Amino acid sequence: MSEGIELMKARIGTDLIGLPVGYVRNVFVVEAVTPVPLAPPGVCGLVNHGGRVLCLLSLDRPDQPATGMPGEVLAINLDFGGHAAALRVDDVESVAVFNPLLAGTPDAAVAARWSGTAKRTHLIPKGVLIEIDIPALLEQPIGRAA
Amino acid sequence: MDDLIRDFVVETLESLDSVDADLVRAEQGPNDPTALVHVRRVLHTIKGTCGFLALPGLETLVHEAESLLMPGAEGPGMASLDVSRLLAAFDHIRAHVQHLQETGVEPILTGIVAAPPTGSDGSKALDLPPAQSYGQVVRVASGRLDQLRRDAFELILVRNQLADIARSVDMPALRAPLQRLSKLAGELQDNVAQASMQRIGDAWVTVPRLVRDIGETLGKDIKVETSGGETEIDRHVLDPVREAIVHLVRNGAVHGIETAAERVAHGKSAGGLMRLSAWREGGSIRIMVSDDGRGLDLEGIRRQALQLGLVGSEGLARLDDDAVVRLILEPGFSTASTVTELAGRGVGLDVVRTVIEQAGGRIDVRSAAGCGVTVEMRLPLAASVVQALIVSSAGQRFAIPQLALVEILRPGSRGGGDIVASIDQNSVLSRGLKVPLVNLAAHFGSTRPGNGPGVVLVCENRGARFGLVVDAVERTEHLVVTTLPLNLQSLPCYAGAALLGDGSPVLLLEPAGFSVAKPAQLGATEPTVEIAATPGHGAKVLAYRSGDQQMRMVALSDIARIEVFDMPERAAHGATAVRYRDGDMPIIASHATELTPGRRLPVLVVENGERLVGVAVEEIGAISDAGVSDAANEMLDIERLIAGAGLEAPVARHNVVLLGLSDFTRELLMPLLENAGFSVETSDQPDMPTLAKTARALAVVVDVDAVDAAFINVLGAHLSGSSGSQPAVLALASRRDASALERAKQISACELVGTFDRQRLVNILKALVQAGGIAA
Repeated sequence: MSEGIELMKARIGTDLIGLPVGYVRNVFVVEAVTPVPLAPPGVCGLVNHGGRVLCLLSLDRPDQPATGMPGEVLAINLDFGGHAAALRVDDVESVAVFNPLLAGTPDAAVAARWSGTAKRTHLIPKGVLIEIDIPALLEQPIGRAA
Repeated sequence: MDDLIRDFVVETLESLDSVDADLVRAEQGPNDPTALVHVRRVLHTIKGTCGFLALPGLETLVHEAESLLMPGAEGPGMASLDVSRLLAAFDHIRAHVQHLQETGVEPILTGIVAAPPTGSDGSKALDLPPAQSYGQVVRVASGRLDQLRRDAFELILVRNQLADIARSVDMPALRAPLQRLSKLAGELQDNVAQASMQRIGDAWVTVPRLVRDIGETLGKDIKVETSGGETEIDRHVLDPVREAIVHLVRNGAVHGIETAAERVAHGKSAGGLMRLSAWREGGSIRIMVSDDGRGLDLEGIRRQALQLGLVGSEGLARLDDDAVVRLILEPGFSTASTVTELAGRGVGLDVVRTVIEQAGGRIDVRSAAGCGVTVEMRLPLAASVVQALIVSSAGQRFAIPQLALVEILRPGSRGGGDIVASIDQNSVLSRGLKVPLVNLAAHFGSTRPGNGPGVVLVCENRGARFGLVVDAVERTEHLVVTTLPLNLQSLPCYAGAALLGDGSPVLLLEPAGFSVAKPAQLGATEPTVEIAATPGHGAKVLAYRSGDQQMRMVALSDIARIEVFDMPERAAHGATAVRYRDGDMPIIASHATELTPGRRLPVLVVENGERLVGVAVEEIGAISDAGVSDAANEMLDIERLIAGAGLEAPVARHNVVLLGLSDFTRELLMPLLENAGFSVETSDQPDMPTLAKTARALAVVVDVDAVDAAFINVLGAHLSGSSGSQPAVLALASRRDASALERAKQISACELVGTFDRQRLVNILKALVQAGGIAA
């Protein structure tokens, strides 16, 4: 019997994503973002999180500057093999366990929309949860296609 | 294992690496005796320590190795030495020591390198030059040093936070302790950084031996040339790239350099050459590994790239030769057709690239057919604290390492009196060169207009200068720099990121990452440009902010002290002065600094002739090296500022001559008298120049305890025979006895003062001033 995968559920726009909890360090509120000129799409800028400079990534609004965004910006601090980054999300929900054997492969539309960062899809009562491939995200952040 | 033995093992292994290199050097340059002398000295030291630590097996091995060296001991008879046998002996010793390191006990000797009969008895004493004396060295665990380093970083961050708070709120009481904290934090950081520095040559100490072994195995004659090994770099940067350097050398020696027959057939010398060089350029260290071999097979690279799918055929057709060469840095790339024990299949350059990039560096490779391959690495000088200029462009702040800058110009402005530069859209004139410009905002695609004409940061990139145009230079700051997050490391225009005092991240610009056209020589018809003379590199300058909110610089050598004063009420004639060192010191303002009574302001105390003048400023900034930061902001011309302040002429200071005082008494009295406003001259002898000085003096102070009878006679005769105005003569004596009184009388002293009654002496001199001469 396969072991379940623990995913932290977070909402980006109307989509629900799942982040393997092993890569999640904490959730924090972004206070200020330093833009990075010439940065690849998906990089909002640099943020200070507890004295550490992190790259703030956005999966759905790569072209929108993070500075001057209305309201609070919520981010999830991710760490993969010492490479840390922050992923901008709109809301964070609970942690749930999913069965990888029941997971689906992202179809072409989803794969294209999430630019290679969608690892698997999990069926949930309200629709589909997209499991994010953290190593792919941290090594080559690419904004989601509109 | 005993601590002594542990330390001995570490030192011995380090020494063996260095003697390997020395021996190869001696073999290649048999007329240079220094290398062999060093080898003998190292072996001799190891052997001596073995006796002390009771390591008889190792002692025997080292003794045998020493014996192998004997044929060359008489002079430049290097040819008679069996270098291969010696190197094998060193390997034997190394293995023995490593066994000792791993197990804590010596291995049983199973085979000793046979020594030649002539030297095996060990009876021949070695003629060793006296050992070099080194300073005291304490071994500290690297973990502790790293912790100290981290603590120093934290301290810098806290200091920056405090400085930022102090800038935003007016808390005068905070200024002095903050300046002290800044100074201490900077010194601590400098010292910790210095302790972490290591010679780059340490990373390639094993290369000569490695190349020799490769040459012997493959039948190639390869020499190694190194330069710049003394260049220092942060150990944390160097450690990860050691293996990369060795890997590059191995690749060059195995795959790059041809056999002697091939070389001769192509008209080259039979022997190949590997060059390793290092130098400092701007805020980076450059390390270059090159060979004079056949160069890379570009067609082979193209074929391999297509096979691996690294690039399509259309894309490949568009790549120029340089771009094709760089394909070998892509993961998994290899063109080597044979696998060798020495260098694998030439794979691993992607690993080298990864290692270099993880250390915050960049790597580039160039190849010329038949001439060889050059791999150049650019590494950060230190993965730590960088003194940087904080600049602004299009509303965003950036940092740029001061070391990367040549000078900074304010085109079209006249600051400090003499800086003049002209600027057009594409270039600025600087020191006779038309320097091409890169507008930072435009480079970054900003549509936000700049503020005013901007400031030009003149940078140097591969020997070519270019100017980076920004809106303004805000300040200098020590930044704890970290490597960029992985997602941004491909951006060449950034060297790292750091946190400013207000906690916001800032990007550190990398001037080498901006590609610009080469500068053109200034045409004869174009106007010349004069750049204001600035203190040379190495001199220190102090930044400060004046009342007009501009940051300025002042040469540290122009300032006697920095004090903080509450501004007093102005005197009737409008001048401001404070009591300082028993006198009134006039205060003048630097550039619109308000001397409002009651304001507490930092004051630069300046010696102006024989008086002190205070220059009030708004805020004291950082101390930095001249040459860059001085040009970023206007240099204060103190003499001009004082001359323009309309101060009254200084009151002439009264001269006091100290004669025949012991060193102790002189040291005691001089600062006291000078602080009391007197100009002091001293002499040990009553010679003519000294006696001439007494004629112009208010008073002559003679230590009658310290001078002899001849001194008193000469002085007495001079003073009694002088006509016109005479100085007052004061005698100093430790005891007021008859002898002292008699000697005081002989020199016509008007007072006999106790040597340690310093206040009375000052009071008498002040009374003399008020009386206009000799006291009644």
